[in-house]
Amino acid sequence: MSARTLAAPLLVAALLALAGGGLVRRQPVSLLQRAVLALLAGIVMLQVALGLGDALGLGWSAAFVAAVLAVGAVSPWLLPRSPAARTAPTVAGSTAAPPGWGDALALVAVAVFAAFAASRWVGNPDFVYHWGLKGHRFLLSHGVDFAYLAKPWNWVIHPDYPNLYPGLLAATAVVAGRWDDHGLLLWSPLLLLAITVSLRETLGAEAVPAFRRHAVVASTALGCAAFGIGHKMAGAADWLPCLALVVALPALVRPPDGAGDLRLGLCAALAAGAKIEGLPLAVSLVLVQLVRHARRRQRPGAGAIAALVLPLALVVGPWVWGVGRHGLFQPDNAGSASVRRLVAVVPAIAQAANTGTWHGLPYLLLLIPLLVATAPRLRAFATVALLQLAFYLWTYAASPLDDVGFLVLTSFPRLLLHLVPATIAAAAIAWLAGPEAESVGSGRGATRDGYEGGARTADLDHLADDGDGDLARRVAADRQPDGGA
Amino acid sequence: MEPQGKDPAGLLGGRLRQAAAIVLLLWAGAAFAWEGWAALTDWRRRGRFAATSFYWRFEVAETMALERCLGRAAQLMPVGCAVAVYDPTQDFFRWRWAAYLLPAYDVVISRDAERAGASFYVSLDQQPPRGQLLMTRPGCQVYRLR
Repeated sequence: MSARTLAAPLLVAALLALAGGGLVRRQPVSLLQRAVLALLAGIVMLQVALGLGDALGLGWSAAFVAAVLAVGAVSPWLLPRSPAARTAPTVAGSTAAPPGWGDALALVAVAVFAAFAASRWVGNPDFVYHWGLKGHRFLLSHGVDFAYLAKPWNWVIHPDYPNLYPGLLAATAVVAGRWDDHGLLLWSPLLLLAITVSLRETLGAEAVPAFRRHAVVASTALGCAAFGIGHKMAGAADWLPCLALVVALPALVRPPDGAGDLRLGLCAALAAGAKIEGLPLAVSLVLVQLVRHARRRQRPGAGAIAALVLPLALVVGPWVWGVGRHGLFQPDNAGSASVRRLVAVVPAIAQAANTGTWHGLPYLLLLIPLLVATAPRLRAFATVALLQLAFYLWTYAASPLDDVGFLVLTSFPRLLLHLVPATIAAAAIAWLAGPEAESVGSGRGATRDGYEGGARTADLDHLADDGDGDLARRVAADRQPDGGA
Repeated sequence: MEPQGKDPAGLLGGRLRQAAAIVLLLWAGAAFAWEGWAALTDWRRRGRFAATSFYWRFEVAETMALERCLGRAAQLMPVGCAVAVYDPTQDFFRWRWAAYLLPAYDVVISRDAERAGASFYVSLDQQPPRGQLLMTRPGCQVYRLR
């Protein structure tokens, strides 16, 4: 462990955010939200570049990775900016909100998780069993080592899984100068920080009053950090689909538009590249957005389709091609669901949701059907979340393993991480925001893209808030770091 | 007394929402405190951590000993060769830890030694039926097979 290896994930994240910044510079979001989106885009771009390097036989040498990061980081500043990009609006709703006690609590949660991660004490078993092993092997072999993955005894390391996360680990190790799991495990708290920041900005833009916003932001960070520490989640890949869904949420809440298409396309690519369970999440995100376009009688143009689908195709294409070419697809990934198995799966799922390290937070997922019933703006998100849960149920019901209960208990608590933070945020938007927020994007008085309206209602939210104080006091309180409205 | 112009339903709704946010915060805060304290307590006792390999984690005596043993073994084995972890119990998780700690090698479980054409055995506690002893330390031996 050294300062350099501990700082490497932070440095790589900064370079990736610079690289991805060019792609998302026209997103009408706050600066912090854009930074998270830029990081997400940068990770996707890195994966595409590594896949390209593999295909062209360039190898992931230090020079190649350095060139990818350097070109990516510099390119946004070299490309000419269009007038539209120069005037791209920045949403004031959350940027105007001063940092407060909720942010401080969230930072404490992330810092404590980071300290445990750097100590390796909360290292995830899957980091040892396959993610980290693959990352280190790919680092040594300067690319995806298909020959290694194809060895008959290596079916245990899931050779058919996507390689975005091992690639990210290998690139970080290149920057660090060596493989050091103390530093590499810091990616998880870093991603939790990104999740928390994105969630904070979303709630700010969606007119959730300050006190509640602080409470929800802190709760999400504390709850996820608790799970991260207790369930040994440092180094798990599950933080990536979790980030993808949290970042996708604003685009699912707002009316479909070009900015949302790109945002969802990038989120879908990240989810699909991170884990095999991320692929159905990616497909759901894309399909739901296309259906939303169709329901509004908007025919998405070629640009919109490309924004939605191209990032996903660029990540999934090389992965599926590699898996197919080397015959890595595992037969136990496919099966047919049976009612008998489903009967065994349901109690195991309830038991897994009740896992001690989650402290009951997954029960908040029971709010998703309520979102469908009572919050029309959240239906797109709720649909995606329900489809994902249905996919998990189907996967377990179709598993060829004899002891499916054990499979559920050892995997489902981790999979819940994909959904819990975004669901908390969605519930906060639906039920903790002021009534005005409901009109944003609903077609009643919303602006064209619905986004600026969100910012404005953030300022108007006090007018119909809880009513437990006079308007002036609450407006003043909401301007204070510790809220009070 | 209800202030003039107040909507009782709005008041109740607002307080409920405020209460929901506070409950969520207390809930998550308690979970964080619980897990943080438990992890800290366990970490302080990590030297005495004893568990089957299913529960192994970084920094416990078993994985640290394995890391040291495999570090020494790696100095004796050419990079890229197949290495078997000699273990009559065919401990799956010990094998996976060994594979993680030797990424430059094809690490196989004992029963796959022949199939993989393993050139070396690394043994932690048992003497394999064959092989030339190259290195021995308490709880760590390396044998050449071919």
